[in-house]
Amino acid sequence: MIIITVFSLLSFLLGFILSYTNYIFPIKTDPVINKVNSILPQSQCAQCGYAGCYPYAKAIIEKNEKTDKCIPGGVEVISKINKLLNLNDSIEIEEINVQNTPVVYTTVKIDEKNCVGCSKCASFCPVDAIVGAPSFMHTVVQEFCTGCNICLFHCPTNCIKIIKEDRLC
Amino acid sequence: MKKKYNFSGGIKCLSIKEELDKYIIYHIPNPNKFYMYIQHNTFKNNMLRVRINQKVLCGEPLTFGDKSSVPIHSPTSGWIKSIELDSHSISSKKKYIKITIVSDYLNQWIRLKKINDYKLYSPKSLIKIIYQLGVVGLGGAHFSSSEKLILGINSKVHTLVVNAVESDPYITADYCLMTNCLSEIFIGCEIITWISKVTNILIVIQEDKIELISKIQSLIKNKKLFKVCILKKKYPGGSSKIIIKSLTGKDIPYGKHSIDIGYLIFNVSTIYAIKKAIINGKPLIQRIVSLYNHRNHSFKNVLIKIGTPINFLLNFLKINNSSNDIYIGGLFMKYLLMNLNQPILKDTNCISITKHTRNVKKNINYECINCGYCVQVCPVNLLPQKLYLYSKNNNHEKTKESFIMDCIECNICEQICPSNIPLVTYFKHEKFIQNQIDKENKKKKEFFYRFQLREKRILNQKKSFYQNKNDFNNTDLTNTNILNKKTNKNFINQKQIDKNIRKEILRSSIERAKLKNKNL
Repeated sequence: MIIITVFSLLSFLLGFILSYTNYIFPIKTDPVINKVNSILPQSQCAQCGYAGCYPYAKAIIEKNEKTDKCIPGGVEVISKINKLLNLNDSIEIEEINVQNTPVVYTTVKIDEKNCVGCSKCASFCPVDAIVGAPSFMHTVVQEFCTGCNICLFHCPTNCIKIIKEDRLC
Repeated sequence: MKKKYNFSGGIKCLSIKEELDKYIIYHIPNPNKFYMYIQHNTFKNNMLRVRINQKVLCGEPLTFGDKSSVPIHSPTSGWIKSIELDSHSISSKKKYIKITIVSDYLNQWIRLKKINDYKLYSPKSLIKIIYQLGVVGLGGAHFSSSEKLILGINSKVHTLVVNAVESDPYITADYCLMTNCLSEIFIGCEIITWISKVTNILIVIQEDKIELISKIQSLIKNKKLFKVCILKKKYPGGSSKIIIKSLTGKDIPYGKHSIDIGYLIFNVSTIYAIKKAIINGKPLIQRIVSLYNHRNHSFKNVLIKIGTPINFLLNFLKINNSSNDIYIGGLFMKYLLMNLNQPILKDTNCISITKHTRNVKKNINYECINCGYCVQVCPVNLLPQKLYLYSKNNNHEKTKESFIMDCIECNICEQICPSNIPLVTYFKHEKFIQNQIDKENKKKKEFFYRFQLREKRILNQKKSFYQNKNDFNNTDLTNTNILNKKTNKNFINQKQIDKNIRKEILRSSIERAKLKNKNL
């Protein structure tokens, strides 16, 4: 009898402490979102319809977004996310016609002679990889370029070109 | 008897009959053409120092070095015939710059900067000289020794380990060098002690070289710094990880160097190269390569210039290469040479010749039966059978958990496996994949970090913009607001007046009506 009371008291106390700490220090970021975000390829290409990979990961969990919208990730990323979230992936993958291509890291180069310095590309780059002041020449910092190709559509003089390069090897 | 140092695992090898006549360095004349291979970085195109059809002298640097690679020097005087991109047979995935030098048989040297008293120089300037003369680790890892010395200065080292253990059992290049020029190696050791301030030097030798050990011990007697450690004759003994484990019993974790514990390890030939670089001022253009013939168990040691094609060497020694297979490396760590025009690089220490056995019988791979021979033999205490299963099923997380990156690729498990599984090729592939995953994760983190930074920046911009706008509104529109309020007041007054007027009209009309009624 004593043992039962002691343990019930103890468990009550510990539960109280736990709930109190959870109340005082609430978890600001959802760990599941971070996990999904770590699976996504982080190219910030915005082909899924969201501003970047983190907003997409947020949307998957909070707004029940479909998991098949990441185009550079391919089937691998879809299956990984489905495995993480316990979704049955076999039906979904057959429906999508995403090619099973591994993440090929392309980088972008600016033809510096033709650049007029409109600074449109720099303002749209999601990782700030393009450097340059307005009305001066711009260049791409190759190490930070994710190959999202957003800047291609915003260049008025068509002076940005894609270089294919296996940086992983 | 002294204590013999030992390590767990490994294979005992039969020692060959030692005839001292055979440990003679053969000198070889210059070939017609030299091929130099340079690691090619895609982002640095201007690392070359020479042009096509330019005259070069012996010992002239061909490249500017950068952080990852040391400069490379031309082995003869002559002119440069061509510079092109090519892939080496060892790693076909990487691209190399290939420079062909046609020699003019004159061997004119550039002016060498000799240093007689190295103690007048500071350690950093000595390290710079070592870097400029292109000294790398000649044991096989190809790690630049100047970087090693810099690491050694930064994290305080206390012992220098001289690695005189052959990496493969039938290579005798190091032994040959030790017998011929012991005194120069001791000078090299002293230079390194001056640079890195170590307090004791251990010379590690395998037990079967008795004459050499006695010779060294007689030389050491007056010197307090030196000490001889005798390793058991076993394969693999040459790896730096295993030497430190057998000397001290400590394991070096993956990604860390032996320097972090406090041990500097140098191969004998590297020390010899350092001595040559500092005292004679000569760049690293020569090395000793041992030739091992499996047919009649004969071996030769050849002092050869880096960049000579292997074909020329074989022709000079009158070895027929149509009926023989030629491998680079010793018994265990070897791979077949397909293109005999490949030159000798800085890290080739042995060329072995065997009978032509291709197409005669094929090794059949059976399935793994979990016999556990490979576990007993592994010198770094891994579980090769488990690693094999995981890597076959593409289970990349499990392989990382069971420490695949600690594998030193010594090929013992493959040799001893009863069902002929090519274990090490699986492990190499798995290591490559692990490296890729690591790099991708790093890139992902970096991209995400930069994305977050950008979002923060934009948020701050927006905040400051709106704050400014509000301020603008408050300051400029206050007057208008007051005006508005005033006008509102006027407006209200007007409304009230209007209402009042209406009321008055109504009242007057009502009064008129009353008056009318009274009148009636």
